[in-house]
Amino acid sequence: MDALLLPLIVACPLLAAGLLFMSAGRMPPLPTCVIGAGSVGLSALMAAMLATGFLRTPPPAGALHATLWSWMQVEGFNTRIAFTLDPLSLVMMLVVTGVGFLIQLYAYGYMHDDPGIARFFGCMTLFVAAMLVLVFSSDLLSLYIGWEGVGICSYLLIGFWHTDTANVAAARKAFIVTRIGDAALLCGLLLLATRAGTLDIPALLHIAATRPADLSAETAAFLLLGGAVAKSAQVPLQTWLPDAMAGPTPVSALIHAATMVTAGVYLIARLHPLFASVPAAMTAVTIIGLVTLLLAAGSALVQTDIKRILAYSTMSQIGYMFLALGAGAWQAAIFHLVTHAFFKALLFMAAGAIILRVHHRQDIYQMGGLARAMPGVFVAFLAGAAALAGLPLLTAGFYSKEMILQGAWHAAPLLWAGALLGAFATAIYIFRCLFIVFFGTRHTEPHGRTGATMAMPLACLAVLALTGGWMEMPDAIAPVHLLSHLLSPLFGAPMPEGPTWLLWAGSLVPLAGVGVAWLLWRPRIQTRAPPEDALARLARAGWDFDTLYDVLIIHPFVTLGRLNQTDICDRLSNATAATARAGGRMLGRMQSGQVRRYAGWIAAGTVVALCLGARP
Amino acid sequence: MTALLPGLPPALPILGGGIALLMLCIAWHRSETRAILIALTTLVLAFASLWLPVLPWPGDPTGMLFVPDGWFTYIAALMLLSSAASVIMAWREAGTPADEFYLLLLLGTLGALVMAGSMDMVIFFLGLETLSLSLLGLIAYHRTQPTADEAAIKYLILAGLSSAILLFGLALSYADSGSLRFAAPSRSGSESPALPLAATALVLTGLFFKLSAVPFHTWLPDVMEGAPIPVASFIAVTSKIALFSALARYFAGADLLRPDAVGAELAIVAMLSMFGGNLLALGQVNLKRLLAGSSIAHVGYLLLALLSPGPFGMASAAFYLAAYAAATSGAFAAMRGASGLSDIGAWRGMFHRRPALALAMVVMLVSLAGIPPAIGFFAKTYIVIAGVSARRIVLLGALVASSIIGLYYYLNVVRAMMEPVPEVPRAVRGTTANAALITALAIVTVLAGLFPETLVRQTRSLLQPTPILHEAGLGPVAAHDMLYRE
Repeated sequence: MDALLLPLIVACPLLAAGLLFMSAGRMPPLPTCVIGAGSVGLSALMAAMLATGFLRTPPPAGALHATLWSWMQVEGFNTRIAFTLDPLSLVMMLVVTGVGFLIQLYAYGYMHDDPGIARFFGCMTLFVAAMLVLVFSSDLLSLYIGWEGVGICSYLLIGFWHTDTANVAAARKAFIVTRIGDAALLCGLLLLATRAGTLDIPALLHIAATRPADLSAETAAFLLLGGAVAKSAQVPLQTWLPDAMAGPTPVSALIHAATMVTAGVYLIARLHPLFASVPAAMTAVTIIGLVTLLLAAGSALVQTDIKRILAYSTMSQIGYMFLALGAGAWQAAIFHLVTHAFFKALLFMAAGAIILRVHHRQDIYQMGGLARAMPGVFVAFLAGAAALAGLPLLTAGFYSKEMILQGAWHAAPLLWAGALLGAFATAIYIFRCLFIVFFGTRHTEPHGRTGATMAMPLACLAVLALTGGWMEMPDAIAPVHLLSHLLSPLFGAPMPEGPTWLLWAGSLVPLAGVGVAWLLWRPRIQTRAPPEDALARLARAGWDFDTLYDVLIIHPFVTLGRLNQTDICDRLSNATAATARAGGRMLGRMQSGQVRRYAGWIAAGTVVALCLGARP
Repeated sequence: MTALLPGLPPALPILGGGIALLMLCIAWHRSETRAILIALTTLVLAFASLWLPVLPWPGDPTGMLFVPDGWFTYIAALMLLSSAASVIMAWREAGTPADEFYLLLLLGTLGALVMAGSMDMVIFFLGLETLSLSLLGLIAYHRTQPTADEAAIKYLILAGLSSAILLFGLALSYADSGSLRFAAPSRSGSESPALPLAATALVLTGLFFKLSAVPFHTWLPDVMEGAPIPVASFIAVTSKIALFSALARYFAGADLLRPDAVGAELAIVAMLSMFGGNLLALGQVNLKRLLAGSSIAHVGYLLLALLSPGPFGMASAAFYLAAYAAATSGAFAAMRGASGLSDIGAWRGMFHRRPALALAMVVMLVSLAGIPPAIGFFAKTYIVIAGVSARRIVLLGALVASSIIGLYYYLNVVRAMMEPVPEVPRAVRGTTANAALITALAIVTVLAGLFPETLVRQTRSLLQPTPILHEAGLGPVAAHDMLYRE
């Protein structure tokens, strides 16, 4: 029964996607939404049923297996399309379907008057299906199918309003940059397949755990890391995420905040014995996480576009997760992944509600004073911001960030200091955004109301952003360890807790950040205007990675391509094409239509065959 | 009934009975509906009878005329299904009077089945001529059209020529060995070593002509263009399966891995067919001629499977035949569904006019081109595996290179269908039966590509008999019994 539910959870949105695409836009908005949101809701319901069953009576080996079919069987290598539900995929499944359902519901309110709504919901449900495939796969090959699936949906949805060339360019950029990582991932998979002879995850992990890491294991770990870095928008392949905000806001909430961008974190957590056996890769993960977390937080401090603030914040928070992974605090990374899905989806959806009501303006300096006009959205945003900043005791973000800080402390105190600095910056930038948007003088008069389908998901997520962290608390506050207990069969015992003053530092630093933000951006103060010095401009442009890549890679490549238009490779392929065409013409001439010629060919063929035989 | 006819597959008398019944009905009262019903029922009954046990031959095994082994069952099933597809395509397309069209289709199927199961030269030749003569009638069925007449005359002359050569080869073979068994004569027991080689070369000419392997292929594009769509499908699928099966039987006892003249001829023809077929299709603007080129290329791929004996060789060929039959029949059915549009230009914008039909056509073309997830991908992969395990490096290179050429013209049709075309005359819709046929074939093509394991297991379990039959040195019956006991 349970093993049957597993593929059904995936099939539900997949079927809906097929239905929506087949409708080719002829369906009215309401049924479109009912199919789109309903299918994901049904999945969420089944996921909840499955989860209660799983938690009440854990399956024998700690995981449920459902083999769908055996795709290919060659001597010594077989690939099965099989799903597994273990604690890690259980957590991911609940996040993807739960948060996914709320966002779909919200999307109806956001998109209901868009002519392309069927296409939108089709892509969104397809995305949910692909993400679930990614999460459930017990085989790296089918994981790769899901991985590519979410990539293509991301591309389609970033460029959803494709009549604007800027959106198309953003979609293309996201696709190409993540493709670099996908190529690395594919190479890593092929290397693993040839060296280990299998892509079955448990078998691979068994090999990784029992055999000392050799050069191929190290290379594979780094290649997989490349894929994770691109998908999760970490330095140096992070440049696509801010531009990806060109898509509709529900897309940013679902794909570019809650789920897809955390696929890299999931991949590393899923394959953690492989990474743990390669210390260099672990160090790389840590450094990438720390650098991204600090750079992105710095950029978020000076952005003026509300969605770009949140985009940089997403990068920075995933940097935290990478840091936790690199420090070996697997549970902390997954915990933060979950809480981040709650509060970042909430922040994006609140931002979307604001954008919708201030005539699609996204510049925070054009908003101002919105707290009174939209108190509900303000409360939701405040809850999200508090969770993101990690304000102590009350918010989910506090507990998950605290766990990461503990992990970082155990790995190296320097990492802990870096992460704490990041937490300070996080509190500053998100409350800067909040103060500028909701307080002070009003620059744009909001219109309309936030509909019920948008308000309800906001309320649900606001509650989750505040209370979602109570499933895992430090011993100093309350000995609750639901999540790490659930995940411990996979990741082993969680790290011991550090001294109590760490907790104090982690609680006070975000409060200090909020204080600084109030001092600098409280209503009616000079410093409210965006800073224009060189450093600020550099940070606003995302530390100019784009220009760097332009100069270093794109420009030389284009120049080289232009110089080398008729190179040997081109000539070779053109010559091949010309030969094929000439051959086609020659054979066409053979078809003269004259029977005697045809008979002649038969005779000639026979004679040649006889001569072949006559040869000694 | 089977008790009366030991050693005879019951499908053959059933087909014969159906033909007699249909003839009687025509003499009494003409009706297309009844004719198609009789034809389909006969085919279905024959199909079902394939799983009836065949009584073993009582006497001396060398006198046996048919081998009702696993290979025959599989091939006959494929041929009966593809004939049924042709029959469905012919509904309301055959012309007036339509009854004889179905009669000739049944007759051709009977010939094909006889050929595929025969162990004896005479029986083989009878089957071949039955097929060939009924094809002649079918090609010229729309006799008022000059293209049909031209195609039929071309076919008549060239088929006569090739049959004569084939018959001469068979005669030489008999002169050499004194046996009427339909198998490549071995050189070892012969007095003059040139005689068996010459016999084989001549027989191969006859077979290659009917299979339309390069350079004996010239008739195929002209005939396919002139023939009605169901007939073109019949020639491309049923008749080719029968001939490939006969070719495989002819070489069942021979060691094709030994470098000799026969192996060389087969390899050369395989290579020429792969390149020739694909290059020929490259410049075509007529979909029927394009599919003719494609079918020539597929013969080349099949010959590679034949030349790679081993654990995979014949199994891959069997799998490939199924994939080829489904996709090619499907492509013709799609053409029939578009009211016989054979000009590629007329298919422009089909995606906007008839999305479902265009999608089905894409599935078929993708399968023929060997792109996943369609069944054609697995079929080609399977042949490549067979070729690799037999170390046919040059032929594999040819397969890869020519498949790339093939991609162009298959996808070119897809491109044409995607093109936006504002104003076009509305195409007449095909029959419901034809639409159902297209749907079924499209589903089979995709599903079998996603779940190839089942079909692979089927083919592997069916196909062992033929080699064992000959290699074990047992009489056919003994091998047959041994297999059925398993």
